[in-house]
Amino acid sequence: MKRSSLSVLPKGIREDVEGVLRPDTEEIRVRANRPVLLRGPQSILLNRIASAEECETMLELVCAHSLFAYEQELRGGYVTLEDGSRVGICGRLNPSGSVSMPGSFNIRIAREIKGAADGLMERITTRDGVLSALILSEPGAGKTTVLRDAARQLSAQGLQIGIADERGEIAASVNGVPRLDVGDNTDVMGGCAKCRAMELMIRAMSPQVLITDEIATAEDAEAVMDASGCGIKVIASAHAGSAAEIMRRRDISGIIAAGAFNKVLLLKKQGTERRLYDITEELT
Amino acid sequence: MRSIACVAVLCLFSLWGYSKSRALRIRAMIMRAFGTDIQRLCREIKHRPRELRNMVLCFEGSELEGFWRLLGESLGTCERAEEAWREAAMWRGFNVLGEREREIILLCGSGLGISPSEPQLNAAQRAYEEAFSRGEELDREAAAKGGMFTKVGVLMGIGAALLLI
Repeated sequence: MKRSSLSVLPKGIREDVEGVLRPDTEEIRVRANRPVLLRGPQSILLNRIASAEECETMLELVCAHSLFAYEQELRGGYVTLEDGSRVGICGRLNPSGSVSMPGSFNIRIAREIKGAADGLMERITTRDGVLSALILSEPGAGKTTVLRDAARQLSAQGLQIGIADERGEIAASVNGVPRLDVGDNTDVMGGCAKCRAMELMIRAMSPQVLITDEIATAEDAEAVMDASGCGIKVIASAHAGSAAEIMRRRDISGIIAAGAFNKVLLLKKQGTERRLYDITEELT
Repeated sequence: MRSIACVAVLCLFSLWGYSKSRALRIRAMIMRAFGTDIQRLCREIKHRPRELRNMVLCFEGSELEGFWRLLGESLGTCERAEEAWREAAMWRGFNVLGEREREIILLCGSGLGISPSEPQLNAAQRAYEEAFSRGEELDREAAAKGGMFTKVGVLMGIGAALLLI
């Protein structure tokens, strides 16, 4: 059975959430002995307390009754569902690194919004081809939604797209097949570090554009530079709320300065809208 | 007519004795099969960990295929794997089992799906060791008592037949 952001909720909580869930709800937060919260442009605090037992049940549902099969993901503190939603889990960290005795969950609902990357496309599509771009934003602003739609739109232009989908959030692949629309000319590599995925795809899949989410480490930065050096356009995202914040991150600011990206764009969420601001000149 | 009745009575009691003996052997066979399947489940968890619902598909062709199929179905409807295991343990193929065997089967489902791999494997290992051990006990019982049940059945049949005569 395909797991989704609703199907992993215990029955009683699911019924209560279904009654008030809005199309623009972004997160469902379940915390032991505290009210269930739906976060979005309009947050809703339910009159429904999740019990500790329900949290245990939820952990089992998130892991499809198979905690032993999700140890790697649990070490990272989250599990990605078949619909692309990501469930962050807090609880007791075991010596093995996995989480048990769950105390809280954060289900970030994946939304496929066709047209989410229109603003990005306007800024990176030129007569001579596509430009490399780095999208910065705070968590929850919609970077992944934009990247997903960017893959779809670029693929529709006939470009060969490679997605380094470390956490499975961009394409939500199940058994190798993307569940979300990332385009027909798109290859997806998941289940490994994004730097490794990029390296493998460059070697074997001849991408013209590489797309990846949340570059953070020196290895990620190096992989982006390598791709750039091979003439491959890279569209990536990183956590930062401003130009000043990204400059404090040496690895990322280093590759920006080295010209890995033609454009650096700041994504800000304002109510239900998302706006892209070009901050390339501030950083280069 | 009396002789036919005598033969019928003899056959009935002999059959009773034989079926008691056979039941013991079947219980032993089921426990051995259960132990073998749990051993296999351990190997799958260790070397190819994946969702339980997919793992149970590999038991197609097992002597306990009906149980595993029922488990797969129950995992789709129950919120807890332990609950699904209890439902599957009601499989009619287990109707012949005694209380001890049922306890062993139910114990195997305790903590299923909610434990990380090491505790899960340890629990499963204990379960198959108990299953094999119980299978051996039942085999010994069948060897000791099986012949006895058959003889008692035949003797009771002869006695009843003589009474009729």
